[in-house]
Amino acid sequence: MKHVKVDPNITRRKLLGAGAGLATIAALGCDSSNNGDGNTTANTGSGGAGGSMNPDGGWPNLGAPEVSSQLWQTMAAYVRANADGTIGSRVNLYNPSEVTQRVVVQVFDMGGQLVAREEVSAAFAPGKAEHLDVGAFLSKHGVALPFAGSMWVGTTPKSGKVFMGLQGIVYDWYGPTYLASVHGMRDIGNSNGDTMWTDLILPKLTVTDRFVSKVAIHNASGDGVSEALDAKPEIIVRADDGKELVHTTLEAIPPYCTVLVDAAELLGNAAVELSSIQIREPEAGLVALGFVHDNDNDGFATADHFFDRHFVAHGLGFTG
Amino acid sequence: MTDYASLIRFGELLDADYIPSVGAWVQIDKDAGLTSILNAFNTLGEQTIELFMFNQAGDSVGETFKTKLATNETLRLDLEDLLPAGTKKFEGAIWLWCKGADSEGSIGLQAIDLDFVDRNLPKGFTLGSVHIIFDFLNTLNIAPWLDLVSPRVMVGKTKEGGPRFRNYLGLAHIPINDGSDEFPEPELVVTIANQEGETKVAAPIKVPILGSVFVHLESLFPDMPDFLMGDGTSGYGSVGVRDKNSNLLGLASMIKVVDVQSGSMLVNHLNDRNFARPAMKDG
Repeated sequence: MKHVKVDPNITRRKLLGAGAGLATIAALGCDSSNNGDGNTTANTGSGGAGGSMNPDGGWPNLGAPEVSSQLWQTMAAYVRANADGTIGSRVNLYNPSEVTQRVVVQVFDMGGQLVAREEVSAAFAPGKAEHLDVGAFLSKHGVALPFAGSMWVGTTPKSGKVFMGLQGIVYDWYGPTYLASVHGMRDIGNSNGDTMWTDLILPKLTVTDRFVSKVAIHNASGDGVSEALDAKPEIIVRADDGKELVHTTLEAIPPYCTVLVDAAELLGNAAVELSSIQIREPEAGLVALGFVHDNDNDGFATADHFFDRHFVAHGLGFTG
Repeated sequence: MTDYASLIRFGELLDADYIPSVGAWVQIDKDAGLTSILNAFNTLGEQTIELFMFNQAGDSVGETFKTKLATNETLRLDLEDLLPAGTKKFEGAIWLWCKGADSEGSIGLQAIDLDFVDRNLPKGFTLGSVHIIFDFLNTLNIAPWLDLVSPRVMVGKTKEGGPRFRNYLGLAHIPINDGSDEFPEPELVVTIANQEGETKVAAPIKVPILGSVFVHLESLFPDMPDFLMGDGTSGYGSVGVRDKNSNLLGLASMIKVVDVQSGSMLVNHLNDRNFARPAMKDG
């Protein structure tokens, strides 16, 4: 297999050819030490929503993830699990296609280090479902809990027309009080061909004394169909009337890394009942999730995937 | 009785290049403090919007809400405010039609979701949230036209030994036809599958034109807990929805799983099998 060359001077994301194979992140300088400091905004990878999810380290470094244009990745920008099972995440898989699919699950820590990888099935049968608990999956792979990071599910049919991809993959979060869920996302691409590769929107943000929106931003570039690039996302928070409340740019996020942005800190702890947030990156592909975090019990009351601005409807056709 | 006035208006909106997004289920109960909030953000040029609410029988409720949304503005609507005076309860579907002012397009499915809110709970808390969507395109041109799936429903037991999860399926009809004057009558087939890959099929569900259902899955599959229970205390399953007659149908959908023990819920739209990507192609 060919290797994806990671060129630090790349200035424009490119789609890779069908033969693209393994990528390496070693040269990209992901900083796994970002895992330990908890509840941070903006410029560093951080751990659990309440700052309690990361140990001092202690999980395998598996090196390069498996990425390939043959492996269609669907991502959760953020998963978490603690040791006693009261807080966790789950991925629900279902093969709605008419052919078997290979399924590969890969987990990255917040610093972008691959810590667990498993071919869950070499031939996941049509109609078959699987429900993987992230904590159990990580323990099986020798990863110390608590843990926070991101999860990729790669799927591919051996033959046939479709990937299971986004259709049959849903991520859940549980505990200690609530359940939350979104369907899986990936960086689908910039079909409009404009100058902004990533342009993600969530039409709401909440900041009260108890409930605060948090946003996980995962650099999903280098996924096998596109080039691995550092990301410097621009964050714009607006009031409902469109007035900008915050406009900032995050420090560089290397491929496979995740940062957690706290809306309260982003807004200077101003109480803002509802607003919107936009994440833009001209070149790198990002996947983002929003959570409403309950400060009283470290629960996720709800979770939302971000919307892709490029996913625009024209007549009865789509771009995106 | 079919709401022909709404059908005619929808035809006009389609002809005028409006794009609909549909929520399969919203719930409003003023006395109980329950409502549903619509959020829509506009990144494009000015959008012209019309919002309709239909009860489960397929009749429009209240006046059509009309507005314009400028670039970067958010539409935030408490749907309770759209009910006619004196109406305290509503359960049904919503349609949000959008049209952009320029060639960039309509916000359509882009940034529209629904929050389910209980006003008795602390401010800022949302019971659940779902992106509104509907199946109206068969992007792969593979049969059947309508093929929706949810990879997760759940069964389990409370600490007291009772059923822990309640699984609900919301389905709202979207009239699509082939240019004739007739719309196919929706007759939907719901299936569940357990982790062993065994499948059960429920009796077809009829949905009125523009109507909707919100059904407790256990009422369709009375033996669902036993069928899905894996280790004796909990289990998972998946759900599929197709049209019995393989007609040209559209559908909005939602799955809701309520944890009786905590009162929390999981809400997702169903995923469209036909919304798939051919191998080897990026978006």
